[in-house]
Amino acid sequence: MSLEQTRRLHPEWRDVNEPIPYPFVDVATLRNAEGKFIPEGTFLDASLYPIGGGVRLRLSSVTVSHEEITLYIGDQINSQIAYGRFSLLEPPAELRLLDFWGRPAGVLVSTASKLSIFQAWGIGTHVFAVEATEFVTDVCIPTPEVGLRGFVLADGSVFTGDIWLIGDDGIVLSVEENTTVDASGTCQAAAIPETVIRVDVVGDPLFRRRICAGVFATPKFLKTITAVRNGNSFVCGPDEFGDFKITVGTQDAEDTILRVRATKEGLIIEAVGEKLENVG
Amino acid sequence: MSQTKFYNDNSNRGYPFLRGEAFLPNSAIVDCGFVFGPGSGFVAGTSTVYLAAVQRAEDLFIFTFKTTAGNLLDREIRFVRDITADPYVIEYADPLDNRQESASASESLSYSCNYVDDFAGYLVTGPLEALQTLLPTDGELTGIATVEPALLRDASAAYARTLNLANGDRTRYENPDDCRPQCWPVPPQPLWIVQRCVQGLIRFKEGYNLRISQDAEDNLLKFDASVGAGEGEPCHQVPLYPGEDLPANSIFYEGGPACNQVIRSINGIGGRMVDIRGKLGVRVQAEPEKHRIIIDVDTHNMAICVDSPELASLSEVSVSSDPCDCGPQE
Repeated sequence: MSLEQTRRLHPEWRDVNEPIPYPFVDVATLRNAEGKFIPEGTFLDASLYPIGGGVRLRLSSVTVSHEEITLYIGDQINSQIAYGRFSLLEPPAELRLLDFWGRPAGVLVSTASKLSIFQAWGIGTHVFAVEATEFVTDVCIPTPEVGLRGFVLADGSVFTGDIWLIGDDGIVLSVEENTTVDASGTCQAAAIPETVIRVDVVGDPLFRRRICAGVFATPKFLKTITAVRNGNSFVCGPDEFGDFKITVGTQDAEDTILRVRATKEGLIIEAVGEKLENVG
Repeated sequence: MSQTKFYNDNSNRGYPFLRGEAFLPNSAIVDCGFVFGPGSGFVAGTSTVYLAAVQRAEDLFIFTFKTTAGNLLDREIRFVRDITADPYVIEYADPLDNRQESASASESLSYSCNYVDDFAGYLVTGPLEALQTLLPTDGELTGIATVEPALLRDASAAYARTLNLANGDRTRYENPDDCRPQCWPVPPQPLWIVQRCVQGLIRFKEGYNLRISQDAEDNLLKFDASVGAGEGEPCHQVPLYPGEDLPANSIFYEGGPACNQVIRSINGIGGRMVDIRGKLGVRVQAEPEKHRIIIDVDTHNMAICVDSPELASLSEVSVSSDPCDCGPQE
């Protein structure tokens, strides 16, 4: 069989799709109520897998602005379950679709020149009914929204994939033994293995050092005082309240002339007795 | 009118590759598809998959597919067929399957959690006679035959695959600048990994000072720090990882002295500075460079005579040679 015969009998995939509504259903009108028409061959292929997408996915609307064009994909419940956006002046050959959490929702295959038809549409939103632009089921991959799909924080950021939970700034995470609690509240060995993540809030004792990093200087504390006399030394520390006691005493007599007084001026160490200037 | 079927059509055209890119007979491959998982770095509309090589090794054909997905540049999927295989055999494979083909390939794989869903696919081969003609003996065909983009499924951000737990390092005590650095039982590091690759059922448990509330309607978990909530206030320090040791000379994981390990007051006089003054009969002499205060009860100016011994010469302050003991930095 010649190459020409082969091409006639078995045309290339995109060539097959160019003159037909594919990836829309055969009966799709490709025209909306205002008369906007999407010619056959504008899209050559598609793969749609919006998470939670229902049946009868369709190209629900086309929004044209001064700078960009947005194609919305919808189902029977939600007319904007996913979207693809491209520059008005630089249409792509493949349009990536995302849902409104930023998760992948599919791809529309076309060419830059074919997608440029939307440049001629007026600025605004052009809505299509399901009869006009329903996709064939062949390009719709069911992706039910089951299981844990991701984490959304209060600021709207979405985390998917391999997610790290990091305890920091006084939060400590740990994993405990697998246990489960039955209806009566009795702890028992886990019939279904589960991971118990314990979250402790313990604070940061050195928070000032962390907050003032680069500025904070470690205080120099007195930790011990070494008393030295006649070659003997004694290393003394504070009591349980952090107080250091200096007292007077002697091994030679019960009384002593030495006095240690705590005053507003500080610690006074003195002897008691007659001053020389007062004698005679 | 009889019509050709999908695989039969494909065995006579470039599909599943882009037009004109196939470097092997059209009949050899009639369909394929690939899916990309969370660790792939795949971007639909930008990343591609391509057939990189077809190798004949004795009675086997090995089809090697590669991708331009950012995190998978060193990965490949190999599909293996007997040269006499029937048409339209389907096979599913992922990069881990390559280990059976090549020991060296397995050594290069480093899946952190042994998950294969980053890059997996299927291949349907057609009649292989034309390929046998092209590769009658051991040999290899190489090229870049890009797979149709609609055959690639991007699930890179489609689901939460694993939870990985870690604790950031605690704020650590540092000795003053001119002192020896603090010694630690284990060198500090930014993160302390608690557990990797957690899957399945997960329960969050209230620990110390934590309240967890749940709103099933909104799928909401709320964590509130509240003194005394959950397990109450801790009576001991909580380690960042099992087996965390205390540093030398401290009762705290973060190091540093406790309140009663430093002198906060002398005879009840507190504050940053405490004045020590000698008055009648007492001289207080400061030798700050030697960290020394000499209190000399010499009864000067007093009308008494005390047989006061001469001040013995004082030895220099000795410093421990243990690098983890307190002392000046050399």
